Amino acid sequence: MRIPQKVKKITDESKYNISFVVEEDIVFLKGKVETYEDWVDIGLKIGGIKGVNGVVNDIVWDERKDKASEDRKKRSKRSKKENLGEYDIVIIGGGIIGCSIARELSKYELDVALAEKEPDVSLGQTRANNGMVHPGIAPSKDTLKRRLNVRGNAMYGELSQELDVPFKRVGSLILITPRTMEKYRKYLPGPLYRFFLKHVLPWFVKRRGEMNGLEGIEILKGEEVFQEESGIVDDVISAVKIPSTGIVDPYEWTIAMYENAKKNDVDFYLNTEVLAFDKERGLIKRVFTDRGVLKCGHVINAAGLYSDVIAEMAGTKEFTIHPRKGVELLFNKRLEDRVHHCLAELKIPSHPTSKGGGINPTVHGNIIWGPTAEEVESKSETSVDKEEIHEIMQKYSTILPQFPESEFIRYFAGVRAASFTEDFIIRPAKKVKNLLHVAAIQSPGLASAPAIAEYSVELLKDMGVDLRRDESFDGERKSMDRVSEMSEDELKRRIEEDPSWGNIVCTCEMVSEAEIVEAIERDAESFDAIKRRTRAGMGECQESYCLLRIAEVISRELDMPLNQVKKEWKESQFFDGIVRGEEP
Amino acid sequence: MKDVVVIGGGPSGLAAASSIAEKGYKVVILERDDELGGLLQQCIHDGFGTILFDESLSGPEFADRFIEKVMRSDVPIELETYVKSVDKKDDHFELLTVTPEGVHKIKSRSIVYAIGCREKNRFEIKIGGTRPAGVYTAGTVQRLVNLYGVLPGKNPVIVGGGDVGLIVARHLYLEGVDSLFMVYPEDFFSGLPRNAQQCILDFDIPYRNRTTVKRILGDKKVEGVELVEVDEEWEMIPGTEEIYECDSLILSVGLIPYSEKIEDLGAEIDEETKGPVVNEYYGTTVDGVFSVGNLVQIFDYVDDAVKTAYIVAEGVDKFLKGIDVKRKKPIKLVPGDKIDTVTPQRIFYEEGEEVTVFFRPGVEKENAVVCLVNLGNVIKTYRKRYLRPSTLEEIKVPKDLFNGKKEVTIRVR
Amino acid sequence: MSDRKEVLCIRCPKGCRLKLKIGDKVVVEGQECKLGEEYGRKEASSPQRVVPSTVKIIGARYPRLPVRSEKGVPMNKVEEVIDELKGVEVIAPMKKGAVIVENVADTSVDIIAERGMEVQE
Ligand SMILES: Cc1cc2nc3c(=O)[nH]c(=O)nc-3n(C[C@H](O)[C@H](O)[C@H](O)COP(=O)(O)OP(=O)(O)OC[C@H]3O[C@@H](n4cnc5c(N)ncnc54)[C@H](O)[C@@H]3O)c2cc1C
Ligand SMILES: Cc1cc2nc3c(=O)[nH]c(=O)nc-3n(C[C@H](O)[C@H](O)[C@H](O)COP(=O)(O)OP(=O)(O)OC[C@H]3O[C@@H](n4cnc5c(N)ncnc54)[C@H](O)[C@@H]3O)c2cc1C
Ligand code: SF4
Repeated sequence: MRIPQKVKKITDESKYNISFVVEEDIVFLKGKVETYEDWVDIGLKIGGIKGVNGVVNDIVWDERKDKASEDRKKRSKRSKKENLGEYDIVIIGGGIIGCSIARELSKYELDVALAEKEPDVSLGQTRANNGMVHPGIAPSKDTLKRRLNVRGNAMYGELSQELDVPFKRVGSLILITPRTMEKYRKYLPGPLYRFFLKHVLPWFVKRRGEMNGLEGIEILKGEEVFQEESGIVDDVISAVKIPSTGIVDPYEWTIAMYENAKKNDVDFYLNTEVLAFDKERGLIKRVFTDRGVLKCGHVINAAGLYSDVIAEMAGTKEFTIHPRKGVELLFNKRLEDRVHHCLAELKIPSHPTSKGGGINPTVHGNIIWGPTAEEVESKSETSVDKEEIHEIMQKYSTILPQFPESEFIRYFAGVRAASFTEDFIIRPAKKVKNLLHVAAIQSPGLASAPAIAEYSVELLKDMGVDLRRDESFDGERKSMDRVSEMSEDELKRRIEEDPSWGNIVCTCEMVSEAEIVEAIERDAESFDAIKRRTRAGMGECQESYCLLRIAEVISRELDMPLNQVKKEWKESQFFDGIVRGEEP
Repeated sequence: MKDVVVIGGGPSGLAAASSIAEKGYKVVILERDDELGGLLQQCIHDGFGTILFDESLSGPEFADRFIEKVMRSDVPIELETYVKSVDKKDDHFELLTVTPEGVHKIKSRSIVYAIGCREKNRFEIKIGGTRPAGVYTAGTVQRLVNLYGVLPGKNPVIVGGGDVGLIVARHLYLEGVDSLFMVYPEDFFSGLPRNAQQCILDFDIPYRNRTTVKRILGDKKVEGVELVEVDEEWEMIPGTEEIYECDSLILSVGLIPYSEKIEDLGAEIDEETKGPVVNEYYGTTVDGVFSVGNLVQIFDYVDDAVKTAYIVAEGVDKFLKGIDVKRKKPIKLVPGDKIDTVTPQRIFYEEGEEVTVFFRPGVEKENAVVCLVNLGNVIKTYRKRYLRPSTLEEIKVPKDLFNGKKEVTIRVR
Repeated sequence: MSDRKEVLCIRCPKGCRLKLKIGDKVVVEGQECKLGEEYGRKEASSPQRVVPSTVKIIGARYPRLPVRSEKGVPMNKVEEVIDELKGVEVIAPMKKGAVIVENVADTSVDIIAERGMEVQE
């Protein structure tokens, strides 16, 4: 069957009246459904058809107007006329993808600009990520995800040296327990079930990994599993150990990319939202933003959750993002010794839309449980409710039954930019020849990021960008110095030079005043931006001790009254006025 | 080599340091802030010292009595001092401190931890919703308003009707917020009647009992909260949710001892108090490590926190003199029926007259009889006019009562 | 003519809700013991409150100096006292107990500094 017939079969089976058009293997859907779930469901079914290259889901599920797009239209009128400059390449989006591409491009003799609507890089899905550099065993064989994930993972080691960002190849354990194939138990009576889980299934998993190009996979049975990770549930039957799995701090990584790209002359425009394009003969000539106009040769769409909006803005609608929320629980560092690998319990059949999350250590010694996977209507839906916390606690305590699951210090959520085809969309836009989509980068987007950047540059070359090596490129970046990591002698020396190294303002994470000042020098202007760079406020008391102390330093360094210090955005000023309306 | 290092320069650390110094020991105080006094410097309302001095002082005034005393003694005070690590050696401890003056090693034969407590935050009580600017703990707000003269918002909601919440409500009201609303899950304010009257009722500040905050609303800045009614078990009652607009949320939902550091040293922690398990002289389960004040448990009155500091001086003295009249196995003091917490949790020494025992009732009860029980037999009783979970109680227990026993339970009849 | 008022007794943790009828003579109801009656009478005739607040201080570690009324002021004067503190400014160094405002809001009570504050950059 060809694509249109297959789509027809699905729309016919649906209880709704859905019409469609297929153009260059992209399916455009129209019609009306009653619920958001139905909207997602149809999109996913069609996206699952082999050969479909994108699903534009214009089905209406609610009479309500799409508020976000209304707002955007209003805002687009606010685009400013000032000329910001002329660039060979304009990247839209300062997540891990945009920043990785920016750094990759800074190796060439090109004028590159990056526009990011938020006040800092990494504030999109990158921020709420659980920091796992997947090995590449999960994606199916002929997806972009698989190829770029395996390659990206391999690139992390060297890059982490260049960028001076901690990366640890901790390895992962895929655990096989009596719950792994509960659904199929009836087909495997008596001892057969255990036998299958101990001797057959691990082999299948290993084989799959090898087919995806992974090396060094080991099968562990019984006792061997506990030798790797002692806290694991008693009834674990076997495990597959993948040595290449790693962990990294996603925003630290992104900030490092940003700093190094900036050092190599990429111009970053923060607080700059792309609102419209000016096209001539099918090519984007100018990018309009709320800060001014960027003239451009080529444009890269790395706008994450909003990459479909950017595509539409450019007049080349080719896919729709359906936001998928993931909630995570973060645990106290004191539990560091309880988890050494990335852990996940294999479940067959797996959740159709997510790999199910797991338990990971972080590079800073915290433990993270999650994420969940929930389809949400809004791209900014990052709230977390009690029920979701309990869901995570329940789901993962089967892996580590002794773990004190109530000792979490924080919870948060991120929204994944999923497309209906559930693969990355990295290709020149269908209708705009100088626009490259690097879109719908959901998990394992972090793991794949270095390879995505490399691949994007190859595609740009094919699109006619002249790539000449810039001999002055300097790929080395120095991370911030941290008191918590310094030797005694080093710290002594620092304090002699500058006493503020010895003034510890965040006692949970042991962060000094000097580090706060250095973060400010490295472009952080808000409390949260400082927090991402220094870890101040990330410890167990969750800011209750250091908030005011750090706000005081910000107020002094940036010469602003205390009550104007911001948490993140200009709309998120912490405090109000002076008591009794007095003058400051 | 020092005899004693006191970590924490709040009232209990100060009192401990001066009483130990009076016995002729070499003491030093380490304080992480740039001034002494601890939390009291931000507690500018009066009501401190009614037990110890029979006067109603403000926090700074109360603190000053102890600061002056230490200043007059020759106890060195190290401010802005962060204790990076503590190592236990054979017969002493080695502390590594970081200060703007440098990195220092301090050797000491014993340590008194007086590092107080921290406030519970929104994550610990699982408030749902978003994570915008505008959510603060009450202590932060108290500091903000009283030390910096800055208001947290124009129309805050306060959750929690304990003393800290009540006090903060009055400051905000008097210092000029436009409106204010307090909610709490109990049936009636859990703080002292005095504070409920003088902070909320005096000014007709609106409040609602049996209510809590379910979710926080607003992406960048707090725009409101979803309130919900709760039952007697504090379980939310579905269908009673209601949105209340506000620009900030202030949490006054409890304090917990800062016990991590001491736990890292190997001290046993009490699941109920969340502080270290201590004996009648406030020694922890690690020899030579003592703990006083709010680190042991949350005291409602600073006066009581300070009492523990006077007692610890005796304990440190015994330890340093090597007086070893310890019972082979310490007697356990445990909370029984209708009692939430008991301190001290261990009776170690045989000699001595009586032990001051603090307990927190688990019920509200009039004309209550508090019993000490051993092997099912009541060995002593105390009468209490009125018990409430929010009021810490004190009894004096004659030491000889413990002779020959392994465990004594305290319960309410 | 009589006025009615409800107050909490603060003499013990029970916190009885006292109902006061204030007329020619004061009637207290709702107390569980004699202490409550005594307290209720006092609250009815002349309730007094110590007022804590801060004033601006220049040249010290913190921008505010904590102050309070030296003793209780009549309850209905509390907000007036606060109003009078608006805009008051002092300069470091400040001594503990120093009088900041005399006879505040005509109560014949002074506002005093709760602590000393040194000069600091
Ligand atoms: C809960 C969760 C857990 C995850 N865990 C992992 C993991 O363990 N491992 C892994 O490999 N991957 C993980 N992922 C996926 C990973 O986070 C993403 O694949 C990756 O962050 C994608 O980065 P990005 O740069 O494409 O998107 P984003 O980080 O969303 O960046 C896009 C940027 O574009 C900006 N932007 C949008 N519109 C405009 C505009 N009009 N003008 C200017 N700027 C604009 C946005 O503000 C944003 O900063 C996880 C994702 C989530 C949500
Ligand atoms: C907001 C609030 C309001 C209160 N209101 C009242 C009231 O109205 N009446 C009343 O009687 N009581 C009140 N209390 C209780 C009273 O203040 C406490 O009982 C008292 O402060 C406890 O004293 P402490 O010395 O144990 O702790 P703290 O006062 O907390 O002192 C601990 C000290 O240790 C320091 N420290 C902490 N960690 C370290 C470290 N690692 N290294 C070095 N130093 C460290 C801290 O900076 C601090 O100075 C209130 C408490 C709070 C929080
Ligand atoms: S009236 Fe008596 S019992 Fe009631 S609160 Fe006052 S002192 Fe306590």
